[in-house]
Amino acid sequence: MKISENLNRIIMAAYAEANVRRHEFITPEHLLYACLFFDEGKEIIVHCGGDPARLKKVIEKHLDLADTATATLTRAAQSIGFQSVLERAAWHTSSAQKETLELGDMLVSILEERESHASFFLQREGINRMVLLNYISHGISVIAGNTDGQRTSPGTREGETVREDKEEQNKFLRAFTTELTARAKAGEMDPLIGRQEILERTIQVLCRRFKNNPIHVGEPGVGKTAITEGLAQLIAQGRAPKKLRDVKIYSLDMGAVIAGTRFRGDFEERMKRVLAELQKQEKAILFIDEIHNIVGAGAVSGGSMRC
Amino acid sequence: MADVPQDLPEGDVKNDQEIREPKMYRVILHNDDYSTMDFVIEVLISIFHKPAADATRIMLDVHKKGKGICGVYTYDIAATRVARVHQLAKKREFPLKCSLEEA
Repeated sequence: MKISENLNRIIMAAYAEANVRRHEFITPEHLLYACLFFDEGKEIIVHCGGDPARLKKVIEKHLDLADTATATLTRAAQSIGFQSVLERAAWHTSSAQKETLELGDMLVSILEERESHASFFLQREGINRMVLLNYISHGISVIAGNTDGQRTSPGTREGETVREDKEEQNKFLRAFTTELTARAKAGEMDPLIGRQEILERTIQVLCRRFKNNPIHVGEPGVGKTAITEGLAQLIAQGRAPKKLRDVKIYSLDMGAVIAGTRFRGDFEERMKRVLAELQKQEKAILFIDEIHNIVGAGAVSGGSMRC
Repeated sequence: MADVPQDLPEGDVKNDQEIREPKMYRVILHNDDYSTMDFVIEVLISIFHKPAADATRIMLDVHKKGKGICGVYTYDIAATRVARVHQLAKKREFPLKCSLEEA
């Protein structure tokens, strides 16, 4: 069995990292850190929904304090965790009768390591075994295809860390939704004329403590979407009731969410991620246009998601 | 989803399996009647990089209280150190035992 050239370089880089930092042991964390400096590693992390820049920062912090530096000039020795990661990856490769050990196999192995910070950091990026396997075996990415290279733009690197982190966290929101209130503020919407009662009723429902999810039903073209846009404008102009004052309305781009979902569960996975990001925000409304596409109203069977 | 009340009762909905931070582990040396004091000190200095005085204190802990704490590390590092102690002890034919426990 061979080790792929890329992986070989990464292992060398990990060794160099451990030696330069005068660490006594080379650990899976060194390995993960090293792979973030290579295109292949970065790509895998990005397509699994992680953020290489943030991951790098986190591991760097961990390496700075966790491992005790030694004064002696010995070369770093492999830790037990490091050995077991490589062993597991190699074992898997040989039992799959593959010729070469690839970086992806090693990342899977890192993820499986128990009580390991490297695994913990990956999981905290939202990378789990299934996501990783899907990407390395079938190239199924959790993010929409258009966000390929732009993610790691170095432009905002120097910015305030808290802000940057927040931005990075909302990757799914940005990929799959548009913020209507922002558009309204920018004056990109036409004013809503009439429809006062419906708008008021919508606001009333939204302000409830429970069951605060209004749904507009009507013939095509009567202006169901327009009502939501009208609401966004109200909020943008500060004319909404106090409870809705600083709320942001996100409109779900159903096309983007569905595009590229090849397997059962992909779609639901994305929805869950969008919802998870929304839940982190204090005040947010998710506007799902054409909701009848995803609710199998009343039907017991069928593959669609139920609300 | 507007304005969900912040203090939902505990155990309401847990949407994902929990990701917890890995714990730290204590490495512990156990007393026995055959390992020499010098060897224990040597172990503490060479494997755990303790200064000589500190190593002596830990060695006396082992001797008097039955066990001594050599340090707190991540699981990986702790397990590696334990293995090294056992390796060295076996090579020098001492029955020195070393274990780890959650910190």
